[in-house]
Amino acid sequence: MDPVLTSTLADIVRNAAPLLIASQGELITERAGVVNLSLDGTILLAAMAAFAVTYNTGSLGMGIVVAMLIGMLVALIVISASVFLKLNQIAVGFVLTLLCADLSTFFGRKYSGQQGTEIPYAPIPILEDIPVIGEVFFQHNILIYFSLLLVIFVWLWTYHTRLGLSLRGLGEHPAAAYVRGTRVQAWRFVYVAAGGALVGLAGASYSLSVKLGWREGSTLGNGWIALAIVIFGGWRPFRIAFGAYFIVGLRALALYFQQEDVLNLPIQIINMTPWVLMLVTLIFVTSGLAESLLVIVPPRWRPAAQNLLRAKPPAALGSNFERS
Amino acid sequence: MTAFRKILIQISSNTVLGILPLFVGILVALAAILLILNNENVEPRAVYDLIYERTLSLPENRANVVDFWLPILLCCCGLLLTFTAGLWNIGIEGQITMGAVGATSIALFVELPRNEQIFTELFMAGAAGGTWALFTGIMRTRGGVNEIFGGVAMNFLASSFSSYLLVAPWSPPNATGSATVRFPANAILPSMDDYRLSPITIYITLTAFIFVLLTLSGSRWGLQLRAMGKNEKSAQMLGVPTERNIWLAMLICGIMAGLAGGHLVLFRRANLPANVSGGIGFLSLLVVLLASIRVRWVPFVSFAFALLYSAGLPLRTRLQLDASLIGIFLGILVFCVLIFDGVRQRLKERVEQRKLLAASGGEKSPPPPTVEIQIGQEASSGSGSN
Repeated sequence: MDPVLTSTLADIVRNAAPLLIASQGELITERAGVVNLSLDGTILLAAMAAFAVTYNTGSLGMGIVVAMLIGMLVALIVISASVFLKLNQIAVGFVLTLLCADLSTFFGRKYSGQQGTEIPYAPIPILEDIPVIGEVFFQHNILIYFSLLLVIFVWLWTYHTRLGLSLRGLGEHPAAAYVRGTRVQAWRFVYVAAGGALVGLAGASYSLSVKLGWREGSTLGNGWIALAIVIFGGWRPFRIAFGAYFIVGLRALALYFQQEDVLNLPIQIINMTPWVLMLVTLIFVTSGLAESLLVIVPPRWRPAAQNLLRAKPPAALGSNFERS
Repeated sequence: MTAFRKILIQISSNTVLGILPLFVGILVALAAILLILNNENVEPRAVYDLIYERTLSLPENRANVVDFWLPILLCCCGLLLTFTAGLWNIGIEGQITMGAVGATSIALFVELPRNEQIFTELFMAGAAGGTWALFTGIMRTRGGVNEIFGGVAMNFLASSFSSYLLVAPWSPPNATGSATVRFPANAILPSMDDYRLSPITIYITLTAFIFVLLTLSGSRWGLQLRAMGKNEKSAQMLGVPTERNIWLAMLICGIMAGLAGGHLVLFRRANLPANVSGGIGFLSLLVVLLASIRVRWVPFVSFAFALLYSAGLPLRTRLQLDASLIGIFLGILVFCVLIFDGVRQRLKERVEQRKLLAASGGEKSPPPPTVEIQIGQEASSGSGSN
């Protein structure tokens, strides 16, 4: 295979890791029936905190843990406000995203443009030597491998474990889950905290791996993209992973076109294409247009195609649960 | 206890409980800022003096605050309509940007007599902002794309489009793409004689506010929007044309945001800069949240926000503090008000439940209904595996 293409694919896998981690985190949160809209600000604050802690202590592990704790804390604020005070999850999440973004700007100004530590490169022996696949998937750092394994783990957990079944129950029909003995509120807290920690980790993976260092607003917009990818992916782990790679792939393509002078278009116009395509795809999937086109699919393949194109949110998403 | 005393206690407790969240929010936000300033070794008095000096000390500074306030209030007016209908118009930043782009397209390339010129510019600003918002509304109703995500995408598209115009077709010769050339004098909104304020923007904002006040307090359409905000599906079943109302609310909000964008380029800047909206759309969302969609509170809250925000730049230049400090203060304030308002509501509910319990002789009252917020499209049960 063309070495430029192989290296581009490896870049896509590397650059998509934070989006992948954040969107899987949000998937867990939303599957539990909670919307955490604070992703954009949380990622910024976690990225800044991870960099600042690593810069001051020299410990990458400490930076990552602090970023995860920040993500967890913000997510817990969202669910606490919803459970204890019955506040609108969207309102609380929106205010927190703006607040976290401002906090990252204010406290991060000392670290802007500073040289920091990078998560060390850790190719996997033997696997790294496989032609093409080795370079694309097995010549990265540990966070990138984690992002790949996370998708498989979330899928296995959600669809092939008893606890995963109860997770889906929390988002689809919390009252039924409660009747079957699930402690709805307690498990919602657990899943939201886990999802928040992953969002924090996504922030850390930006400042310590993908976009090394810290600059004001350096990850701005990626939280919103992660949220959109969850919808685009129909609340399913592998489709969400595809969405993350698709968006990052489009960005890479835009850069490639610009470098190679293939299309004589300004970068600003090329930058718009992922958003246009995302909107078109969202409309295609969520409007039912995709399902109405299923008539052209042979009847034998129709159920599988229907399942593939379905994009319905958890039925109790955003709702409060109360024991009667 | 006499009946009169009981009534007095009731009234005072209701009033106190009503404004308590705001006071607690201000106190917590101030405490947090004091903590940050202490950490930065900056005297709080110096910050206060600087804010006062740059905003209220001189007539021209006060005029500057008002000039900053008008577009925010205009955006808030539009957001009041969409919020009442239960729509989160996060795409307002993009609508402001497109309004500014629309006004610039006339200011740079069309030459008409003064009055026609100004009218055409403002018309284009409103039309561009309105159309941008309408896209989000149509995507919501016809495409099943939630307005939050549709709005965010439209924000990025507007920002990229505006940046493209600045680096390519509208870029001045030998420029870096940070702004267009200054508009001709004929294209700039007229100013008052004594202060640098635009009477046209004042009229537009006043008209918009009165329109929204009357619409939401005493019109059939306002009632329909309220019903949709409470429960869109029920409103639809009761015959409210929800789709048409969503389009209309988004369109009007977009027109107001577009006019705010028009004011920014046609009066404050006299050119189209990069990142023209400067976050005033999100600021307006915070204002409406803080005012809890109460129309009468919005002018005061938005003025307070404008006053603080217009003091942001000197903080950086004079005290080496970042302007984001103001954003932190406002963010904590809105967050605390939301939280303490939630606490107040729960306390109120508990007191009412106790009263009901006492009245019914110990029988437990039913729990309050759950709040449903649907993201994406219609809810359904069951989900498939990958």
